[in-house]
Amino acid sequence: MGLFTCRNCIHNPAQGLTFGPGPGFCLQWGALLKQPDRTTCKYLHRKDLPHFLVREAQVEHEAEFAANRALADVETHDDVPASAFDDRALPRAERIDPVTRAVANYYTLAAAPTVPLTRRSRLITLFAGSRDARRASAHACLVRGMGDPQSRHEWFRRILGLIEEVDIEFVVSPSDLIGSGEASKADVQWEIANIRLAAVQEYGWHLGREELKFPLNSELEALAADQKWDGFMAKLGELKGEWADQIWASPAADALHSRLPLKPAPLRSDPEPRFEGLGLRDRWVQKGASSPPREQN
Amino acid sequence: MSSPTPEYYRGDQADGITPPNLADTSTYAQHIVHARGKRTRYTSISTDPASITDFGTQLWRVLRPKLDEENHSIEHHDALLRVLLDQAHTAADKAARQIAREAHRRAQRRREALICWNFDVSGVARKDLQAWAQRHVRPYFARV
Repeated sequence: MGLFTCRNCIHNPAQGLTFGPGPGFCLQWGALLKQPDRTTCKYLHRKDLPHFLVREAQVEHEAEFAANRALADVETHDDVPASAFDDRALPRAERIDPVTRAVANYYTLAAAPTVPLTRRSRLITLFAGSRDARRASAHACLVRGMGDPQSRHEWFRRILGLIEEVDIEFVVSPSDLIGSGEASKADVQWEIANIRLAAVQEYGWHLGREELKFPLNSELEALAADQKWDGFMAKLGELKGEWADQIWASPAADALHSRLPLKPAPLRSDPEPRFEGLGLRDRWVQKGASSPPREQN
Repeated sequence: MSSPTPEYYRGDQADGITPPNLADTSTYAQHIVHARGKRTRYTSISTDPASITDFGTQLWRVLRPKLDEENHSIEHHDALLRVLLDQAHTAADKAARQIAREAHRRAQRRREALICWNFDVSGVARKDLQAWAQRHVRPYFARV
């Protein structure tokens, strides 16, 4: 059942099936998830595998929860009221951890309708390059969740950023693990590696490029199957440049080129003062008369 | 001397066992990661009740002698892991290999095994299969 709960949904980016105890935060509903392993909704987007490999199951899940407008209990199908995030109103025992709070704050900054897509996309980079396991997961999930045609240029940039950090090791602290001894550090490492890879795979699916839909070569596949973490991460580092090259060679890159400025943008974004049209013309003045105010063209 | 056969458990709903979809054709790996839906022709069980708490709130014990008598089989945990690992290395396409890798990790963590049902459903209409399976699967489990 866990596979179809909020824990395994990219819209709850800082938790997973093996990490992130306590409440989570849903970016789909802007709501605190008090029991992320008990709730779900019809918009679930699974973290563990790329969307195109679990499409049948997701369609079935959508149909099962079609009658629920928003969050629902995964077993009873009862509606679960969405509770807005207000850290001050939460009792001490329910206070959310700093990473979940960061996700909630990202939501408040990014979700306002007046926030332009570019700015929303750049907020994602606040999670980039982190050595913390849960922030690494959040970054990959946020990039995965960008699949919006209107933001394709930003998505292009963010996916390249994610590929850049795909082989960066992250720290899994004991407090990140779920339960007592249910999940191990290795479980978390592989889960987050899969979340990152699935982001590349989903982007590859949108581009229609087989090399990115299944980006691992046979050597990496074997290392992943045998769960040899160190060797896997080292080989990922060797391969990520090829993935970036493939993305740069894609039509998405051509479209991006056409939008790039021909010269670097100035540091100041204010428009330069324009003098054309502001020329002043003196009026003819008779000798001895007082000078009239200047007349604007 | 044969090795002792393990006890198997299943977490499920209090009012019964989720019926298998006997018409489904998923592989072991597809079943474990639910790649093609939540109900397949297999039923997941585990040797470790603590690792399957999210299956459901009610713990059930598998009645092994009855399963054996009536010709249903269990893909035991170790054998299942071997099959999945083999698929992760040798399956024909990349999608199958990726699903097998994920299923292997998941089965390992949950000490999972599978019941492979061997019912004769030739006389059961397809639309009635689920209700039929629900009635026929229940006797193989006892509440803990």
